[in-house]
Amino acid sequence: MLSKHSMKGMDVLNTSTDLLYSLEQVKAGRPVDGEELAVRLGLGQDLLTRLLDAASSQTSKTARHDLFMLTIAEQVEKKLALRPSELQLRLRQAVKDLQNQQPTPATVQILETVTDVVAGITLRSVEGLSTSLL
Amino acid sequence: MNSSNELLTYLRTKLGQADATSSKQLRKQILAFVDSSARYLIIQIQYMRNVMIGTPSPDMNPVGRLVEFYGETMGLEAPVYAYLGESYYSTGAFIYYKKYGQRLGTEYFIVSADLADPAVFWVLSAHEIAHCWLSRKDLVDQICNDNPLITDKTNADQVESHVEEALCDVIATRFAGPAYPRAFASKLWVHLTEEYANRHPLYSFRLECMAQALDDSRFYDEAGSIREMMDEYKMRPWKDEVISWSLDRLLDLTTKMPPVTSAKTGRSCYDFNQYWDMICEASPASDPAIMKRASDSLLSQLEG
Repeated sequence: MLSKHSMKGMDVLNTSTDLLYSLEQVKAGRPVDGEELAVRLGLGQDLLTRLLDAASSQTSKTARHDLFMLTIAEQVEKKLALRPSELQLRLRQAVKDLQNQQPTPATVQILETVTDVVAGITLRSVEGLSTSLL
Repeated sequence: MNSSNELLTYLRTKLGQADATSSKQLRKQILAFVDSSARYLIIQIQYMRNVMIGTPSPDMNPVGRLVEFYGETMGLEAPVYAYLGESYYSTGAFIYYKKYGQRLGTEYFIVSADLADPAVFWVLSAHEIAHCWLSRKDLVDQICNDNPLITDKTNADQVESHVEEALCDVIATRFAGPAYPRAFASKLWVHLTEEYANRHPLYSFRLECMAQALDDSRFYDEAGSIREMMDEYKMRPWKDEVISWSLDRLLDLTTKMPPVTSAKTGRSCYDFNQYWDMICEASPASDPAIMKRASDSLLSQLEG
């Protein structure tokens, strides 16, 4: 099936770029639709919670994990040179930040790294659909 | 067409974000999203062109009628369009957005059946319809995500892919009955002793899944024939498959799949078992002349 493996990153990439964009606009003092921001913060919180679950499964055999999220978690750890337990701490804090609508630079850094990892996966998966040109 | 327009409107919004952001990194990431979305759309347009070019009118598309019926009976939430291509595959559900956090619905699925095959093999489309059905469910995740035996994360994609393929085989067998494994084995018999490809489980595991699904439906003789064939071909033991641990779950999660015979249609031609009974009972079995006769009979009924 063509779509299943190749589109897994689309949700994550859309959510994280939307949220990063909104946070940037807020920081720059530009007007942002309140409802839109609330939805984006909520989706971002869901995303980081799923990533936290996946990261937790690296240190706990009973934790539920999504294999795609686990792949992202491992790559984020590598990029930020974090141990699994350190990533869990950072993610836990990031989820709280988004809940309180007060993202810190550390939270933004996590979001940026996740976005970077997923952008790479998504682009590669589209390329994988075709053997021509790319 | 409406969805394409909604998608393009959404992508324009994202391009507006890319223009407005002061972060070069974010701009690149937003453009990655736009690029991927646009390319998926182009891929879908190409498939839709294949459907339109390959099927001048619905009356002249018997494979289209068949997969439409399969989709309806399996309970797909969007129509399925089919054409004869170079192999059996399906597009599944593509994901698009119309607003922040709001996905567009799945408007259709596309399935290709092998142009070179006699019509009796089109029962293999049931496997592709199962992919479409699964693309809106979380059965694969249910099997993979909670399994403590999956410790090698580098194989995560392979495990998921194997589980999905095996699940589709079980669903197709529950749905189509012995006709599915018979068509499967007849089409792939040359390959059955090969080691598995990266994205598919061992053939012996796939056949064991089908045999167990047949056992569940009391097709004991047909299940026995599959196992005899596996012995005869000296296939690698199915327990060597990396997802052999999933067999019980694959079967448990699909017990409610309706068989094709449960559909309230007066058209018995959709049940391929009658044709495969004819082919398997012939002497010699799978005689090309019998296969042609069965396919001609099937085609005339599908077109009728």
